Amino acid sequence: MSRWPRISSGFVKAMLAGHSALGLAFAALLYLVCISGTIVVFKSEIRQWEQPGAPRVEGEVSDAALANAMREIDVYSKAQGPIHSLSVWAPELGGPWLRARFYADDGGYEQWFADPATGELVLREHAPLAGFLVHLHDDLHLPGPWGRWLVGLMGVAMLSLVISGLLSHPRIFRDAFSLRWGGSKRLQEADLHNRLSVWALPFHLVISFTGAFLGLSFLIVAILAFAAYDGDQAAAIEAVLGPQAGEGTPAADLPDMEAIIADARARGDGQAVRFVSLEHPGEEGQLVGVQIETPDDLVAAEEYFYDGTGTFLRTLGNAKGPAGQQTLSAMGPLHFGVFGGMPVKILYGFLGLASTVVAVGGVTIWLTRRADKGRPAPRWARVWTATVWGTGLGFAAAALGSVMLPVAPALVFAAALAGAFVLAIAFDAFALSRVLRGLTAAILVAAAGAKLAVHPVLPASAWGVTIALVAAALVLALSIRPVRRLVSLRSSVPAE
Amino acid sequence: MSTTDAIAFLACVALMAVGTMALRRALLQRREAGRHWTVLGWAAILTGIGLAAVLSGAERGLALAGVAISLAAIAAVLLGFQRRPERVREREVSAAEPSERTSRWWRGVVRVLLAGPLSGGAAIGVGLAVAVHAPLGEADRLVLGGSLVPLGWAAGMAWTLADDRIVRPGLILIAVGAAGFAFSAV
Repeated sequence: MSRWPRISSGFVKAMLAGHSALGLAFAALLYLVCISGTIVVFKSEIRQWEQPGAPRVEGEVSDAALANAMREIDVYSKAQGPIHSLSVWAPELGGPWLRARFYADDGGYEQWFADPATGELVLREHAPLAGFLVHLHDDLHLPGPWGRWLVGLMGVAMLSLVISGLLSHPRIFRDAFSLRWGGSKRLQEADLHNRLSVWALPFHLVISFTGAFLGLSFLIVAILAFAAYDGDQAAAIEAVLGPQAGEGTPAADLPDMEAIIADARARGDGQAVRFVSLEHPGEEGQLVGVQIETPDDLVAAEEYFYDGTGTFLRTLGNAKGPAGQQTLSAMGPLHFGVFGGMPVKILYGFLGLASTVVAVGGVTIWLTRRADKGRPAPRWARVWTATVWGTGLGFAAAALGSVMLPVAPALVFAAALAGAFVLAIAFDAFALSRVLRGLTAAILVAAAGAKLAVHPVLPASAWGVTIALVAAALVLALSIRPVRRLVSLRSSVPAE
Repeated sequence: MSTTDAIAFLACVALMAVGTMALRRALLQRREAGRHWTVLGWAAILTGIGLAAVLSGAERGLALAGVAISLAAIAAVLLGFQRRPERVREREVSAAEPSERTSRWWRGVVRVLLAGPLSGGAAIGVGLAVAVHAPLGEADRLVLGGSLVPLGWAAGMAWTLADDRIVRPGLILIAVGAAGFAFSAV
């Protein structure tokens, strides 16, 4: 196997300089997006852990129950103010429940669990930990579109890092399987960084590209609309997302949802319903969308649109339509790993961890390089250690808080992360890392124990989360044994 | 995950594991001696991809194969883990070094502008031109043009941050962006 391709050392040095500068500039945000994304793969399981008593669906939900859930959420939402849309989620899309949701015109929303047999709303969803994690990954809890755009920019930066990382790696094949541990700390970290980067390359490319696209999609559509549709953003959205609800006076009745669902199911070869939406309910321009499963496709569902009178309009084409439409519809499933059930989610979890390790390792390489050159940066090492392990501590504290405290997980997370930075004043990087890992392990065990104390009977998926918490605690506890010093920051950063 | 998907996935992981282990063996041997392992490795990997595509459909199969090869290869790397004694430290520090640049604040600001707004603007210009004029269906043009924005932006970002010069990349990005916007407006 020949060395690919022969690249001049000057080019490699320049690429490495750019790679290093970009990685360092966005290191903390990239780490936060990677680790939160890894956890968010299991958001459905975390929701089940938070509300184990929610009514679960056994078997298929009838069209009548789906239609009734839509009527119930319509009646309930009318008392909450002007409503933008209603939706009903069948099982398997986000969890084993029948759920109904309304979005208000002001952006607020509520989600309810419905009785799978009747469609009656029975329990309001309350999953603050899952909500916190999803928002952290989607928009970093920043207001308006800014957070989503910033996360989209992180996707662009990650994609750029993949490109510059590949181009600065002339021994990509020769070193393809090298993982040298011990000896030079810098070589060890570089080996780990490079092997995880190269071999998880398909995953890194897909995640960064789809993340960038999804994060920046509204900005891109707005610009495309300006240029290609004379500023008509609705026309641009309709071209790729299908028919849009029209503005209208609230004079119309709800369409016959049961008949619409039955018609869509018939058009979809009798497959199961995944999702039903009603935009601008009760207005003359109201629009119904019904997603019917297409088991052999990546997107796993085709969407059928109906107007306010129940007349069929067209399909979106996300399963059988033009290539562009299918590509667009596949971005979500590819990004979130929801195209192959639990095995693919577990693999996405492992590969997400690989991305996280790559993000952390980039900074560690920079720290060891400085130390090797006689310019150690112990303060930066402490800041980075507090960021990395403080984030883990924050997640653990948020999980425990979601069981025991009536406080928003974001506040608990922020407090724990701030605490990690306070501890960074007292400890060097090596000790800080051990202290934070130990604290995180203890809190993870406490969170698992507290959940079992409150809900001794858990569904299988919630047990999975509990076991994952204990397993993570065990790994962290084992990692702080003295024998693991080899992998700590100590050898990279001399004591202050 | 259906039973067919599960079988396809397990078979795919197994073939990927065989393929990556064979490639690893090829790299450990001399060029001639390792050739048959190279052939076996790539054959197993391509068979795994093909099998996944046949059993789970092209879209899902390729996605499953992408995940499977990463998993199998990382496992192969971890199996090849070598623990080194501390004494080799000095001899082995031969990792590539990034170029040293003059660190003037204004060059940093210009680089941020090149990697951010200018690369992004050029990518949007190209994306717009494709979205408006590519000889494809409406949805295809729009999605292709939209997809080129993050790809082009990322490529521009990598280039401008790596190039030691700042004037030439700036001029090229401005020219590309302006041409894209102008063409899309025609």
